[in-house]
Amino acid sequence: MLFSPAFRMIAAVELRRHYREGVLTILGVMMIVLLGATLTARTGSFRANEDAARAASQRVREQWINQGTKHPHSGAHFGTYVFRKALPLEVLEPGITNFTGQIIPLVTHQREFPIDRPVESSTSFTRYGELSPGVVGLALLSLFAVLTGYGVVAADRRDGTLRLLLASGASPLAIVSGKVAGLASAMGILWLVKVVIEGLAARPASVDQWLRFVAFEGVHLVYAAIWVLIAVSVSTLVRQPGTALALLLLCWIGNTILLPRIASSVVRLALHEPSAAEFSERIRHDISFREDGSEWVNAWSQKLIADTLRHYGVSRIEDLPVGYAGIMLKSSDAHYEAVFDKHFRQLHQLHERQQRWHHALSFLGPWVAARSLLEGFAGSDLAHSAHLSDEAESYRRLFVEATNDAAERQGKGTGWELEVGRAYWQSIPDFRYSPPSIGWAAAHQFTGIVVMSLWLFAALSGLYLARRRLERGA
Amino acid sequence: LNFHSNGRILNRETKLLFSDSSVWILIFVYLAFVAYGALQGIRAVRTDHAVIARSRAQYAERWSAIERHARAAGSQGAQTWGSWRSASLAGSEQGGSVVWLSPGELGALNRGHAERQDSVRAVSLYDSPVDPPLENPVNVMYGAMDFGFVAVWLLPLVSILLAFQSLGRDREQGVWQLVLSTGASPRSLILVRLLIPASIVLLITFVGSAVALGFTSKAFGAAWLLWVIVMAAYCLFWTMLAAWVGLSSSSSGRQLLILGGLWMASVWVVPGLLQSACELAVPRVTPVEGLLAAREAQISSSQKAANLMKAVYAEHPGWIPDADLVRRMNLPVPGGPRRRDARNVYSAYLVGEQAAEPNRFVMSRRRSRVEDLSNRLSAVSPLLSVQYLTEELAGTSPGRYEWFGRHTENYIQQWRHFFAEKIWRLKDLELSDVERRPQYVEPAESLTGILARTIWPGVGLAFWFVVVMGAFVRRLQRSLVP
Repeated sequence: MLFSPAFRMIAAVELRRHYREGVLTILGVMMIVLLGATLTARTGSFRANEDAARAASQRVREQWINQGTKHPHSGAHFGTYVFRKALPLEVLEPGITNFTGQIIPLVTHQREFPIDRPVESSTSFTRYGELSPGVVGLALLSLFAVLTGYGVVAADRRDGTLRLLLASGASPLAIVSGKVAGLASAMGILWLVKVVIEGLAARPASVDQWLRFVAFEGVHLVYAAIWVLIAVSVSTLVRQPGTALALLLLCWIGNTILLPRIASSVVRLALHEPSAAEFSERIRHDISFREDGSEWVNAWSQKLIADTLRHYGVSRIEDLPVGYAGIMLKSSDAHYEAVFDKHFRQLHQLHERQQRWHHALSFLGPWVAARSLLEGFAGSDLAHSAHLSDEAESYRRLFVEATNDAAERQGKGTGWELEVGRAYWQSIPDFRYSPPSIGWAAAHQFTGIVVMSLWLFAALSGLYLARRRLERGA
Repeated sequence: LNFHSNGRILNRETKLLFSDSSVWILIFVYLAFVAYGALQGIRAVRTDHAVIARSRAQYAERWSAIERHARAAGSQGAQTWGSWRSASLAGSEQGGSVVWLSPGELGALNRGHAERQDSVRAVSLYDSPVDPPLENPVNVMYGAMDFGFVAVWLLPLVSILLAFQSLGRDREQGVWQLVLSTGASPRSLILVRLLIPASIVLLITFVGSAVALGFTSKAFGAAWLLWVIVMAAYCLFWTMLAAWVGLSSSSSGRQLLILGGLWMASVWVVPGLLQSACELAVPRVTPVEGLLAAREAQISSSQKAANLMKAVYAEHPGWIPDADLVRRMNLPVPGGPRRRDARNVYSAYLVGEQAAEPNRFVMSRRRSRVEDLSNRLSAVSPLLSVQYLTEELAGTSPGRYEWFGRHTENYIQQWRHFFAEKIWRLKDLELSDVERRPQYVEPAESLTGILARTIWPGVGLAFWFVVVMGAFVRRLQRSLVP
């Protein structure tokens, strides 16, 4: 029944009609122009930034090794930087990367926020959103579904050809599915053009990147399919093509332009981040005071000195066979790190809760979930950003721990007289970052995947209702 | 339009418009957005004021503590490092200063660049600390739902939806001649049909803006009047555009398609393409070079200084640094009294600053160039023209923040010179110094500076208004020919 001659004929006629009417060509040209413009602008800066990040990482490592002869703790204060290296697919969907710092400073005693946010030097043109290839794809494919799909059944009904089709023996299922297939085939051509252009721009190099690229384009395909189904359903359910167009356009505008802003605004109101002053003050307080309100440093310092002297059986710090500086720094850094962990974890959890709210609001429209999935597969979402940040923090702790350890083991007495040189700096491994796999990315986008699946299911249900309506009408 | 003679038309058309339930829905939706935008504006401006007040209070508190210690210290000797009177610490973490940019009078009407910039900046002898960006980047990416968004983005959409059918509907349904046969003058009929929806939209917008201002600055002066004029012109532009399309196209579906396309191009495609053009014309400059140069310079200077001190010790084996100096530095440092001497700390910092200066200069020139270019390009689109104009009027434009940055830079220089002089002379702060420290005075930008930034967007809006009005009037005249 589904692949009956009537189905094939309706699908073929529909495809030819879209081609003849020129909407396919116009939107195809528009897509190529917009993708071309955004990709040209992005690819240049993307490659330049990639090279700059690689060169900067090398130079910063050389600086670390050649920082001179000094106390290990001074070296930890000199610290290092982690430069964010973009994944290849970020050229297609920069996501939040323009709104987060590109450089993570790593120094002792402090967990720094990334610096150098591209948005700080961008123009006001992007005040209410950016035009990225990923966004162009989502918007144009869905717009195409609206502009070509609003009349597929409604226009036939208005012109009386629907009655003719039914009279000629075509079943409502064949009509509806034929219309969907015709529209989807036309859309498929646009999608393929997009895939080729984006594939050439992104140039995935590894299996993981290819899988990410496939998933990225798959999100576009599912999103487009949802809109095709919605458009055909509305066209079947609404009598006038004009009404169907108005309804679909309003849905498209509401979903694409209004909903993301409404979602972010509601999320901000419901789950508000602390102000910078509050956040810093809380950290300062927890570092300075214990839970009972007493000063941390006095009790800690006295106890640590007493314990250390007892452990080594000496009466003065100067007589210690190890460097007390190292012991003291290890202990104080452990305290600082526990405080940073607590507050940064709270902040990350808040952002994750906000993300869940975003996804929850995607039940009003699939845009936010689709965009979130694109960012996830491109590696430009919140989860990837937090992953890099956590890896950088682990590395910071590694080299701080190493310098403290050197101060303890190689030093004597107070431990401040020690000096280490090039060989020591070189012995500390460089920062190496392996981006997470696509499986990890998909797991972090689980809610988005569920929301998109539900939308697909809802759109299919809509089509089923439309078919029933057509059957009743027939 | 003479409303007295055409009162009947006005009355009938108003009734006709309000008998449509979709009009009511649109009006209520817009009203809700305006109310929400106004609320956001009020909240943001109040938060800004609170943040500024808190920072100023903390600054005052820090300096009164320093003053107390300076008084108590009396005639004690110099304590160069680590004391409350240390110039290095007073100029930075222990004291420091603060600069702020109060929200503009119409700040509640457009958050603009204020969403991305701090209203308060700390000033230090060394690197001025920057507030950590705690906001979820996803929220920042999607943009704010402020009054500016409602007035600049949604107002056109609502104007279009209310006006597009006002003329085309009768022609499409073939009742235009019938309507005219009631004796109504076509000109009056058309103008009434356009003015009613435009007036509704503008009324809601103006009331919303008045409420937002009423709860914040209460500044209903020239700036608000200008804002009202800009918004009126903007609303009329979209209304006339909708009417022009309505008169040019017979199908309401096609009208909606064209107008929706124009709106989408304005809000989304054109800004995106212009952003791409700016990125291509003036590529982004990162601070990486500056950071690396500063570190290299610090390594090099530190090595040079250490070598120099070693040479001094080798040459004068009997020389021992002043015991008091060593005590004050609190460090038995092999190789000489280097690390915690404020002069060394500050000179090491300045070496880094100097090395990073070329990069800073390039970044600042790039910022000015891209700002200038985007200001000119804003004239390409009526929406961007209005966005730039309203941001200027609200005092939240990137240009104003750029100017604030320049002004702050001057103050930072004064601050640094004041404390650096003490550091070089190894002098602690005296009570008189505490009183004479550079004080920040919030500046008022000159009108010429603001006007210079409004030329291009102003010309852009005027140009588009005239073009659409011309097209609309010509189309109207042609339509009226029997």
